[in-house]
Formats: sequence, C-alpha cells, structure tokens
Amino acid sequence: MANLPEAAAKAWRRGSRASRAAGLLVACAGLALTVVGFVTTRHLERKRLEADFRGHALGLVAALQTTIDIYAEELHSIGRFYAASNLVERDEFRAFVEGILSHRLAVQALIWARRVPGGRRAAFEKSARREGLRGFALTERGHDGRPVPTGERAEYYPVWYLEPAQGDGFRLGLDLGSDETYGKAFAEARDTGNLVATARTTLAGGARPPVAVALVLPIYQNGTPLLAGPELRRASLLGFVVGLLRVDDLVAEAVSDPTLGDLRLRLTDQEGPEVQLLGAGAYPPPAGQPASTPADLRERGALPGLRYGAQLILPQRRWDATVTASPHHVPGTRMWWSRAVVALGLLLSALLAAYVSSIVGRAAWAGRLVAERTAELSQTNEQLQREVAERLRHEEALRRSEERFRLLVQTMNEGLAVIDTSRKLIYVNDALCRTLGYAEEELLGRSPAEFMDDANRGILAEQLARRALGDDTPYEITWTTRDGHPVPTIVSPRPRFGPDGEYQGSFAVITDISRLKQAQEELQRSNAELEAFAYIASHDLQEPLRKVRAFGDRLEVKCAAALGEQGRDYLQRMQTAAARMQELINDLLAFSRVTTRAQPFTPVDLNQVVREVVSDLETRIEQVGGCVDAGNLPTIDADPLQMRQLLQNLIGNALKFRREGVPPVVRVRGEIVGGASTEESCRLVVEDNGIGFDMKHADRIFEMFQRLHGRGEYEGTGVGLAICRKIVERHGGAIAAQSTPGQGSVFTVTLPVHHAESPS
Amino acid sequence: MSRMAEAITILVADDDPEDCLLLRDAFQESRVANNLRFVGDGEELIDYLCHRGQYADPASSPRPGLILLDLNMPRKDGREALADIKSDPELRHIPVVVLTTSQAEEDIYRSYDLGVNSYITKPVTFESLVEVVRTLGMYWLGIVELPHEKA
Repeated sequence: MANLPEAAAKAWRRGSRASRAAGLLVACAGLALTVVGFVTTRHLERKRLEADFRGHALGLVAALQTTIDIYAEELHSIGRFYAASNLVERDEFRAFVEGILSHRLAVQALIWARRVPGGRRAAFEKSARREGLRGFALTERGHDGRPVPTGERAEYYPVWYLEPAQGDGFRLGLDLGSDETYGKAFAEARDTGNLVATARTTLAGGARPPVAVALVLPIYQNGTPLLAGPELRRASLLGFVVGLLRVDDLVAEAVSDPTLGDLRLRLTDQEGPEVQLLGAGAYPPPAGQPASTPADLRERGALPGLRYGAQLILPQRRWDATVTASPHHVPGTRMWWSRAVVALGLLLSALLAAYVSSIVGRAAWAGRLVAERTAELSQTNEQLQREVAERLRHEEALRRSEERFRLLVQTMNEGLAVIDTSRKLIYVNDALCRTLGYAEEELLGRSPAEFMDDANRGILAEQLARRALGDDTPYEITWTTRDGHPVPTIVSPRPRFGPDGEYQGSFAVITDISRLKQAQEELQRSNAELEAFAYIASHDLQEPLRKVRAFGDRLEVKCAAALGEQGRDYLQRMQTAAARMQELINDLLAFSRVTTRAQPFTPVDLNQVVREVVSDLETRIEQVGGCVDAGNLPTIDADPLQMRQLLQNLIGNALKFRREGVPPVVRVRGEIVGGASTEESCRLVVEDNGIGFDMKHADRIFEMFQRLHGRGEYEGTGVGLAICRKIVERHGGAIAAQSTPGQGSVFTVTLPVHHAESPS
Repeated sequence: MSRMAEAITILVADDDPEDCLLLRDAFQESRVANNLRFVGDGEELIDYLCHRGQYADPASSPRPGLILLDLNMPRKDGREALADIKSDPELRHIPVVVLTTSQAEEDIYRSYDLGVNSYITKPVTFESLVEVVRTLGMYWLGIVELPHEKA
C-alpha cells in the first residue's frame, strides 16, 4: 500500500469513504425503513390493539352497564314488590331480597329505610324496642365512627330492614338521612320518584374500606300517581329501598368474562366539583389481589392510546369509566410483529449496508485496482515507449551497421560467397561477380561447381563435405570465368551452425590469387631464369678459366725451361688468379642458389646435419688437428641442404680461422627457446677458439666479399658468411657474431622451430 | 692392355676444341693408346654411329667400343644424343661415359636415367685429367668386359 501511486491511494481513500458512506447511507436508509416499518407495524399493531382494546373496553363498559342496569333492575324489582303490597314485613323483605343477595354478589346490603317524620322519632324508637329490637335508637355515625344518637332533623330515614343482617357499620336504626351522601340521594329520589344512585360512599370497617355506591329507590304509598309532583311525593313517601353496592364487586361481576382481558378500569363520579374515584384496577384482578391496588390508582403502566372513555349511566348519575389497558393486557407476543420488523429490519439493513458497503467497497477496491492498473499500465506504457524508442535506436544503429557491412562487403576486393546446405549460392558480392565475370543473378541459386572444371569440382566436393564437420581450413581452388579463363583462388571458408548445432551452410572469402599465382610463376620463372643464368654463367665463365688453368699447367709442364724464372712466376700468378676467379664464380653460384635452389621446409635433425658436415670436413679437421664438439641439437623445420651449407660454412670458418699453434676446438650447441609452441625458436651456437675479430666488424663480416684479412692469409672469397646470412634470413631467423680478438668467436644463429605450411 | 683393348676405338663427342686437345694430350700422357675419334656435336655423333653423311664409310668410321660424351654441345647436345643412342637397339649396347663440366645433379640423374654407363665431371687441372683418363683406360679397357660387335 505504501507504494501505491498517488492516484490509486486517493482512489482507495475515496473508495473507502464512498463505501463507508454508502454503507452508512444504506444502513441509515435501512434503519429509517426499519423505523418506518417498525413505526408502521407498531401503529398497525396498536391500531389493532386499540381496536381490540376498544372492543374489549366496549365490552367491559357494556358489561358494566348491563350489570348496573341489572342491579338497578333488582332495586326496581324490590320497588315493584313494595308497590305490590305497600306494607312489607321484615321477613317478607328478607325472603324477597334473599334471591337477590344470593345472585348479586356486589350487594353489600339491601336496606329498607323507613321514613320517620321528625316528631315521631321517640315513638318510633319505642315501638321498635317493643318489637324486640333491643336498644334500638336512631343513630348516626359519630366522629369516631361509632354510632351516636342522631341529631334532630325534620325527617329521619333509619335503616329499618337490613339484609344481610350484619353489614359493615350498618345497623338497624342508623339514620341514613344523617349521611350527607344519602341525604342528597334521598332528596332527589323522593322528589323525582326515580331510582337514584348516590355519590361515592365508603363502607365502614377494615383497613381498606371498599368503595360503595347506593341505589336509592323511593317507595310511595300505593296510588301515588306516577307523575306526581314533589310535594305529593314528599307527602306520600314511605321510605327508601337502598341497595348498597360494592363497586369493586360490581365491576368484578361485570368483568367475570375472562375474554375481556387485562384491562384497567377507572371509575369516577363527578359529585359537584369533586371527582370521586370509585375504583381503579385491573380486571380481571390478578389472583389473590383485590381489584384496586394503590399502584393501580396511579394508572401506572397503562398504555397510552389504549384508553377508552365512556359514561356509565346510573340512575340519575353518570360515572366516567376510563378503560385502559394494563401492561398485562398486551401480551408480549402481540408486539412481536414490530419487534420482528425491527429485528428483520435491522438485520436486513445491516446486511444490505454491509452488502452495499462491500459492493461500493469493491467498487472502490476495483477503482483502486483500476487506478493501480492504470498507473501500472501507464508506467508499462512509458516503459514500452522507451523500449520502442530504444528498439528504434537499435534498429537504426543496426541498419547503419548493416549498411556499413553491406558497403564493406560490396566494396571489398575479395569475393564473398554464401552457400546453403544444398550447396547453392545464396549470396555473392560484387567482387566475386567481377572475378568470375558473371552477373549476380547468374550465380545465385547455382552451385559453385557449375563454374569449375572437372578437376576442381572434385576438390570442391571434397572441401564442401568438410564444412559440415566444422572444418574451416583455407584451400586453393580454380574457378572458370565466363570467358573460360581459369582463375585460381584461395577460399577461406567458415561454416555456420544453428543453435542446435546443425549445419546451416557456410560463407567463404574468395581471394583471387591469379596475380599472386602469376607473380609466383613469374618468380619461379625468374628464379629458374636466374638459376639457369647463374648456372650457365658460371658454367660458361668457368670454362675459359678451366682452359686457362689447364693450358697454364701444360705450359708449366712443357715449357718450364723456356719460360724462365720470371715467366714461371708470371704463370703462377695467372694460375692463382684464374683459380680465384673460379672460386668466386662458384661462391656466387652458391649464393644465388640459396634462393633459386631453395627447397621446402621439412623437419631436419640438426644432429644429422652436423654429423654429415663433420664427415665432409674430416680430412681438414684431421689436417689441422682440430675437433668438433657438438652437443645435442634439436630438430627444426628447415631446408636440409641449406642447413648443411650453413653449418659447413660456420664450422669450416671456425676451423679455418684458427690460432697459430692452437688446435681448433669448435663447440656446437643448440637449444629451444621461446614461448608458445608455434613461436619456439632454436638457438644454435658455434663457438671457436680461433683468432677472433674486432667487434666493430661484427656486421661487416656478413656482407658479400667482405674480408677482414688479406688474400694471402686465409683462403676464401668472403662469401661464406653472406651465404649463411642469406640462408638464415630465408628461414626467418637471425645470425649474429661475437668475438674477442685472439680468443675466439661465437656465432649465434636463431631459427624458428616451426614453419606453417604455405601452399606451394 | 690387351690387343683387343687396344683395337677399341674411343669416340669423343665434345664441341670444345681445347678440351679435345687436352683430352688427346691426356690420353697420350696416360699411355692409353687407343684410337681416338672426335665429333663436334650430337648430330655428328649420331651420323658417325649410323654411318651417315661424312661418316658413311664404316672403314673410316669404325664403330667405337666406348663413347666419351660431353653434354653441352650445339645443334644436338649430349643429352639428346644419349637418349638417341640408348634408345636405338643397334647402338645402346655401346658403353657411354659422360665427360662434362656440369656437376648438376639434374644432369647426373638424367644421364643415368637415360642409361649412361658412367658420369665423370671434367677435372679442373690437367694432372687430374690425365689421372682420370688413365683410370678410364684401366677400368673400361682393362677390367670391364666390353660387348663384341656383331658382325
């Protein structure tokens, strides 16, 4: 990542951001959708719940209403009972309400509150006591809740019948009229003749006294018209039937239907400015718990929205019933849709976010890759361009080089031919065309054999056979030109091999040696001429000399006396001169023959040569009492005859130029010196103990006819060393002399050991 | 020397008059007393041997028992003459001794190749020449058996 190019890195960053953004976006969208879905589902659920609830609530309210109506009807039934008889005895009352009591469980008590006018209080009490009700008195609830005699009032409405007999704080004689709540209800009931429900009232006793409500039914004297006015009603009022109902039980009876679910009911009564809570709680109440709990009173946990308000119609009163749903009402499973939606939504959005993120990321990654690749590509492209430019430069250079070589090949003097494996010419240069006198197209595709005579074809065939073996030795061959002239050439071939080593043809440099041959021939001719000349010259020159000497001898023999001493002396000088001339001629001939009679080099054992020379000089060696001490000499490539001449001259000289009275000792040594085998040379040393010479003459002595001594001192014409030098030079060597006058001389000859064979 | 030997004619072919003179003297000196005849070149030699031309008369041109042949002669040199003699069935039995100034190996070899019987290089001094002649006489006329002429 560190090496990414800028663009790619940027792309990557952008891509990452994009992917993250995309992911986030999708996540948000998903979340939003989830939220929406959730909300919608919830909403729908709620709606359903609400509908459900509403249904339930309605049911509950209806049930409640029904129950209330039923209870109101029960009161009415008591009223009808009273209407039927007008005078109802206690046990009749009891018998009648027993049924009600057994069925209607919310009834706390059913009471007949007889009307007792104010003035008749005492009498009533007395009569009651007389009936058997001991201690009967009109009471009211005191401050401490205990009954106290009731105060003076215009009318009294004491509890006269009470069923069940014992009922929380109620006792016979309790003046209901003393209670404000009842009082009000009585007043209204009396005046209207309607069944009237009281405001909330509590029952006495217990830590939590249940909330109760009483239904008050006025009973009039028989015959009282239904539409009587209040005065009449007051006048004909007999009393009230009071049904005391426990609200909770009332509700409980209403809600006995379990299908009503977990609902909370709040019942309130508006009594003047005051809102009286009648009851609140969950219905049906959880097992073991009373319906109203203090907690419920605060409506804790009620689900908002699930609220149903209705009015319960009671006799001359309305209750506000608020139905809410308790948390229990909404079973967890009801909400599982929304939860599922949330979960699913979250999951989906997460997945989608991840997916999108990955896609975008991948896109980003792809983008980065693309940027990378693009960068790479552009790099590669650049490189390619550079390479192409390079290649073009190379090609240009190659082309120029080719051009040069082409030019070279075309302008070179030597012919150049290339043949393929089928021995056909595939390339010929101008020089070759000129040499052979053919045009290029006449040569190409043909075998060289077509331009040779039979003998040379044989040579060619043999040579070409060697090419495939890798032989590249030059050879001589003669072509035939267009005009039929032979042109001798030296062919320097070079076979070519492919990568697998297979023979692919060869090319050859063809050097026209006709001039060379001509020159050679001329040289040979010249040499021959020279030789002939030298021979004839020497022969013809020798002949008169011979005559001179011969007749000179005859003269000496035949006419010695006639000649006289002087004549004989003159004759002697003449003979000597003639003899000398003969020698000179012979030496000249020998000198010229170093070249004209030169033989090819062949390995020559120098030991053998020395032996032969010593043998030849045997007589002389013996004469002078000398000796030749030859060491082991090497074998070298040389002209045998000329080696003979060389050593003969050197050793002969050594013997000739001896010191007076000192037997000449000639040492001949030879050794190989030098480097690589082809560059070895042989160093011959001929050493003597003779008269020696002054070193200043060291070069002169090798000149023709140069002598260091008078004619009379030593014989010889002064050609010997010249001949030696000529021989040595012909062999490609060198000769040098060293000497100390009066002690001896050393002649050093250096000759190459090997001579490469030259075409003869 | 036998009588027979003495009777043998020695034919000398040499173009050089001095050499001929010297040779005659040498024969005299060496007491080789044979009949000496001289011809000047190869043509005359063949003519003589074939009894042609001036040598038509066999009486005046006796068949030689030995030929001394110089190589370098005009008209027809000794080499040619030698070739002719040694290829002629009538003549080739005659011993031929080349007596020439040439020391050339080539000449020596060719001569022998042609069938010459001996090859002698003319010595330089007269004394040597006398010696050579004497030896010649002793060898060819004394030691060696010469073929008889068929009549």
